[in-house]
Amino acid sequence: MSPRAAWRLEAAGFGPVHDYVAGKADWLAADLPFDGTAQLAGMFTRRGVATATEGAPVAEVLRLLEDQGFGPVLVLNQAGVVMGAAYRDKLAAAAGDAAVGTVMRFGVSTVRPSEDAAALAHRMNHAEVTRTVVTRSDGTLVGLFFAADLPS
Amino acid sequence: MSVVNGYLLISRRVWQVAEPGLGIVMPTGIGRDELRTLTGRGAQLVEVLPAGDYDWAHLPGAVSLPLKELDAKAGQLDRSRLVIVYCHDWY
Repeated sequence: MSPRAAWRLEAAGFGPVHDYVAGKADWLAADLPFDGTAQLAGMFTRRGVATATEGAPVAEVLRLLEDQGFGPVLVLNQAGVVMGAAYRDKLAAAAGDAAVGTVMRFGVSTVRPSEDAAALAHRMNHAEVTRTVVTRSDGTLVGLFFAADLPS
Repeated sequence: MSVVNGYLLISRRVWQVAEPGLGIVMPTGIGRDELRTLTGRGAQLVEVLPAGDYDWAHLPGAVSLPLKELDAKAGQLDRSRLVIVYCHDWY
């Protein structure tokens, strides 16, 4: 649609016209600000959640999780990309000096902050999932979305 | 930034800007970073989706100019400022 508009405006003398080809979907999936009535997952996502690097000792990550009061602790690489999630049961069963990367769950499911919040919560409730990891389109962490955080 | 064999090279992306030999200048495709740079310099941002989509969510500062109303309402745009259009996604 936007290429047609760009061509049309150029023909009407509005040159040069630029086309943001990836569009609104790209903008919202990157967790960037928007105006409008949409209620998106990013608006209800808990930010600043506990994170660790893959080399962090299990004992330290377990302390992070206990201080936060909920899990998991998200394991990030040097670029801030979510590589996995560390859950209490695995952490408690591992040696305290082991690297969390060896006990984390790799390949956790993620959603974009641009998802409709109510639809996401509905899907999570149906699947009996209480929380999900929210990442931008480049895989970097936004936070954790809890279905229960949505106002009823 | 340079034009090579009809292609404009912009920050690791290659956008076709002209049919070689035809002298046609095509609208320039840009990414998120270029959009922020250009709007920072005063470019006007135009959402061409239907008004309902605009009301649901739009980029800050964007104006609504649905494709079907483009010809009738293009006059609302400032001809002295660069125009950036967008819709929902690539398609």
